[in-house]
Amino acid sequence: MIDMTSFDFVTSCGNCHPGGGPLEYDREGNRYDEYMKKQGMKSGGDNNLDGDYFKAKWIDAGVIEADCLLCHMPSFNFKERNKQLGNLNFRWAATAGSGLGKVDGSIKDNKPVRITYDTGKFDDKGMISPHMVREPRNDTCLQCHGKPGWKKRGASFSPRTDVHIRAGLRCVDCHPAGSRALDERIKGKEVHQIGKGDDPGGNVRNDLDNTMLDCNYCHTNGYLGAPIAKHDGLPPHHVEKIACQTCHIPFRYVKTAQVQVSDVFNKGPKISPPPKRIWTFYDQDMNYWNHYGELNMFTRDDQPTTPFQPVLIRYKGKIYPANRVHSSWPGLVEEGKPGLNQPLMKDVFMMWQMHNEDASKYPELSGIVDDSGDGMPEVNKPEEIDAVISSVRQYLTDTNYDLTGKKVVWVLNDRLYYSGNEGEKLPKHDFEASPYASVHKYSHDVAPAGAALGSKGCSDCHSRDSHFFFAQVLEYPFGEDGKPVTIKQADLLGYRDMPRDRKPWTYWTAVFFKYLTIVVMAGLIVHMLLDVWKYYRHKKGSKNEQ
Amino acid sequence: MKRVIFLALGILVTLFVFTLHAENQKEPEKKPAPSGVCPPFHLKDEAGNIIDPIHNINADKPYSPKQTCGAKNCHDYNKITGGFHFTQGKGEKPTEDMQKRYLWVSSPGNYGGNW
Repeated sequence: MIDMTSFDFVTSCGNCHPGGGPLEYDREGNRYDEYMKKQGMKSGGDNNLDGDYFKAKWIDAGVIEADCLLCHMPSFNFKERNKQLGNLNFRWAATAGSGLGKVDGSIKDNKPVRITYDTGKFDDKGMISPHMVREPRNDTCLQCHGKPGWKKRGASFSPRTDVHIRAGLRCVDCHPAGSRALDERIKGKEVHQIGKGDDPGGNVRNDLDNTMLDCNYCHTNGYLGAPIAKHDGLPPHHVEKIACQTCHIPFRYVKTAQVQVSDVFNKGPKISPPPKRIWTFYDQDMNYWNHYGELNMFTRDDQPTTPFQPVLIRYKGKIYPANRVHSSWPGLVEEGKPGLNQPLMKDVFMMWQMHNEDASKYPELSGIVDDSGDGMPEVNKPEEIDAVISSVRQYLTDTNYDLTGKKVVWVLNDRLYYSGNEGEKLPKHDFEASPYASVHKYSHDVAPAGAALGSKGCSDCHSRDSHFFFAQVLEYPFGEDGKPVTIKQADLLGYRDMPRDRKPWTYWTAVFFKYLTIVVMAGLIVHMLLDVWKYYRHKKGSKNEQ
Repeated sequence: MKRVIFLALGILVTLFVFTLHAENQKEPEKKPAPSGVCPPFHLKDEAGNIIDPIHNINADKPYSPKQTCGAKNCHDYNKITGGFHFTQGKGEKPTEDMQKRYLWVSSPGNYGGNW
């Protein structure tokens, strides 16, 4: 059994890959098409079950070299380029995307591939001078980062939601590269390590975290005309303990997927391709969200406005707004190995597909019903957990998957279930909802300073009903009754009755004076009441004497 | 007289040796003049051959960004494609947390089993 191969990676994920790297070279550094030819491998053959060459057609399709114009040509046609990827016309994709030539034919459909160059784009010497830019436009970055930015981070990257984009800033102004970069780790002529932040959910080149320009740099130095942050009247420990984003992103305006479950079948309309039905999303209010259906209907440009206040996490010593993604999914415990494995997504999909077509197949799945009343079934009761585990186990057995030394389990956030009534807790970081789902900080779609937390005063946070301390945040998407299980935001941030970083004597002094005030005031009131009682008693006594 | 002849010969020999030495010096490699922007250029195919549809040269071949943009005296293709947007995790080990948790992952990026 082979999971996604390098060739599959191109066809599945290549739309958001600029070429080069694993789209050009195998894991040993060989160029796919040349090596395949040299080794006498068969195009489309098993090729020794080598994941770089299994069922691959590199010889016919070619490879995808790094396509400079993809980023550096504002008029680059992504749709046309990705169409060539879909047709397995890899080596022709750059020509089509650049608009320098028209590409017909399809390796996938065995139709000869032909190019017709647009001679209007060439001078009389046969050279070109295309419209190229040194620094890509925002639209170019958002071709790839726009959709996941929406789903994972509720980011719109638009003038209506972000004060920086409204001011005309470009992505590359904060995320520079090459000789424009300021951080020495990425600075250098033609070095294409683009400045990045530090997202808990991103682990590529963690050594380059925080090479981008952060809020502090621009708003301390006035770089690119940034207003200087003064924070008049704000006690200094706020900026030490709380990240800029927390106060300056008090709301998100576009929903994000807070929960992703991978254990039920999503019958929502317009979800394509079909295997994506194995994912069901819920938004930050625990409403069912047909994200893929929306993408199909109206894309990123028409995101509905859905304001919400973000969950806050403590990450590397500071408080940030973030999307803690929750998950439930069937997994595999493998004897003697750490962590978990998982069945292939297509296996879980096929299991459900077969059951939906014939309820006598994997019949226990019919017992997974909607308990929360939102119309979507969810796995939350012991018998439903047992149903998923036994059905997945049966499907894998039916398809001759070797389960020796493996146990099918079900995982809900940090709870691992061997059966509906037997499970254990999995270790996770405090800021995570699940060790098997991402946490994404919110760093884009920044509000203007006048809308920041604190702009109406300290009570924005320091009040009895403030979101900062008292919001109910999701802990588990479904309890046994199907309803969400929540905890107080302050508990998630680790605030105790006594603040963690306060020295005890300051706290207890405050407590002493608070209760002293109450006792003294109570005593004063009692004293006044006694005075009144004494006065009327004396007056009554005088009357009696008369 | 003899002195004059010897002096003249000495000067001639010195000049000859100096000239020989000067000729043997390699000319320092001239840096290409800075351009600031890409000048007009030919497209090239995967083999590095020019594509010129105006003169019907090689006009049936797709252009190769590597051979075209990465041509000599132009751009350093290998340096550029070392960027993480291109590698997307290839060649990197999963982080310690990932190794403890995810048995299906072989890199920290999209290439290699991200979720």
